[in-house]
Amino acid sequence: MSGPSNFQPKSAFLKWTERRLPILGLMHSSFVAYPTPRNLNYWWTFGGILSFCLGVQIITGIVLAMHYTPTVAGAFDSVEHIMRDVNYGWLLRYVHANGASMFFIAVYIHIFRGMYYGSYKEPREILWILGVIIFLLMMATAFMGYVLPWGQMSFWGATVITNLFSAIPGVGTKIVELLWGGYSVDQPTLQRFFSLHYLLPFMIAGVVILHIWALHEVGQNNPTGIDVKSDKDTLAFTPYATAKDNFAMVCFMIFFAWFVFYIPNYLGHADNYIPANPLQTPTHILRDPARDPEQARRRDGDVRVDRGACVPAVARSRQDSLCEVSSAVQAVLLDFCDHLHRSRLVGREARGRRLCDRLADSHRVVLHSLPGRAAAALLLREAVGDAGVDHGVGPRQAVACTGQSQRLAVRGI
Amino acid sequence: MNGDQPTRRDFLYIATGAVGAVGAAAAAWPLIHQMNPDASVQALASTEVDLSPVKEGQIITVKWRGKPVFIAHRTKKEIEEAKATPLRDLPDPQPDDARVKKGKEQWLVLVGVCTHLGCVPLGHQGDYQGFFCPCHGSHYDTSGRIRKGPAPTNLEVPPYEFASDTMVRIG
Repeated sequence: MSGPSNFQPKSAFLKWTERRLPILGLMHSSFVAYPTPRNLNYWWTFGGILSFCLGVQIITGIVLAMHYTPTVAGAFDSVEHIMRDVNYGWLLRYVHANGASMFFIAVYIHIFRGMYYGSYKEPREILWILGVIIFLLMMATAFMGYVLPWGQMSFWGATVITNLFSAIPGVGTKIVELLWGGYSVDQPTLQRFFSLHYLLPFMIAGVVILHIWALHEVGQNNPTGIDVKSDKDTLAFTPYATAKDNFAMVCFMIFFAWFVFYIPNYLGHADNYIPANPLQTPTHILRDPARDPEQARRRDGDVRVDRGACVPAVARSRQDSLCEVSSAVQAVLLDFCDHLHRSRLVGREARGRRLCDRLADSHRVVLHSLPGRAAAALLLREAVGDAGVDHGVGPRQAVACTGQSQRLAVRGI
Repeated sequence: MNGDQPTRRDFLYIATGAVGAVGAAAAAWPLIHQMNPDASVQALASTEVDLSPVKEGQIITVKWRGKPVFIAHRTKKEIEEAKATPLRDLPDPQPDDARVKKGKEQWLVLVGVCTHLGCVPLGHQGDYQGFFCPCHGSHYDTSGRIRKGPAPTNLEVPPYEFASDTMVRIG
């Protein structure tokens, strides 16, 4: 799609530069002359919004690191110092914390767009895979960032999530001790999480460049799902896509600002304003037994506790629960969207609606294997299909989190 | 379309760009201002010192805003010397009474940082028995004024006031 640049620098200096480092031509062919399908809708603006989110996170993050102390004694206090003493520190921290959530909201819409319109299909497989890698890096980064304030939810979120690795047979404990740098979540853990939390965003930025490269190599998908055939089907990136992206970005920023300025702690948990206490787990980290008798039963010893199945009990903290639900949502929606979109295109909406009703019932399906489209389809079919109805098995039973318990769950159905 | 006339679209581009520039500047300010001294630093920006234990002829060093501050309890002889020095002998002319508080001439308060390259001078040393910087040999007199050596200006007098006869608040 991206043909040779027709960029012609005017001044002698730019001509001199362009002959030696054709970066202006690269920018011009990528973001000005680049042909975009003329029928792109607003779902296609989330790529730009995500670039904005990454930029905001990196800039505010670098600034916050100027005031943060990665020690178990100093971390919590340094965050309060940022909130109370540092000039505009409250704003910077709230933008960074809510920005992480905004980043995930935007990426879910972006992924949904890709699934709904089939943007993962030939020839965009590598583009999709790079996107999944970015998503995984985002989850790792967000998780480690959530640990840094060293409140109760930080500490116990870190403890529970890292303990998942202890479910690996044989070497589990060794792996967890390696992650911790000790025998519990402590100073070495915090310090390495800070280091990696600083590193990973730049790795994300690197993979984003590959993601855009792959996109520009094969060209954008568009709402019809049929690739553009000629220049008649396209418009120049600037001003058409740029203006549309900017407008969407401003709308997104209004939404973002609403959280930052009016409900900055809405997506957080009050317990994270209690300093980390390795001797006491906050009660909220467990689910409400009244609403969740299944977990209460496990805890009371009726059923052998399966660590994998405990994952949903992790922090209601934003990123943690978002992370865990996201892969499930991704796998389930992938199948759903494919069906829905296909049926819409051929005018069989009834089928899509029926699936929609079923999906509303099966939203509890949690699946953790990422390339699990096939597994999701299997689970879904087993759980909500005819067979499932025959056996009287609802989708609630299809809770599968680690590879181990996933097999169990599939066999159980 | 008349190519020479600005169009409605040109106006919209410029107006949008202007609003965007204002927004970008407003967003940049917190990112820059966060580097300025914060509230916890400003809260410690002044230091109170009890002078009652400082004997005549003694120099104490206190820390103020991360820097050493000399408080010298000058003897009669040192005050006389400082007052008697003709201004034409000084590279950075300044009378002694411009460097101390009236009626408190015995108290000399100086930022203990050599004006040459930032070393900490030594008290009661040098050719003028004031301060002497060991790094490059700057000699200061009993009023902290530069007399000899590479330093360009006198030792700085910080802002200070006497809260009482024996209590000085620096900063």
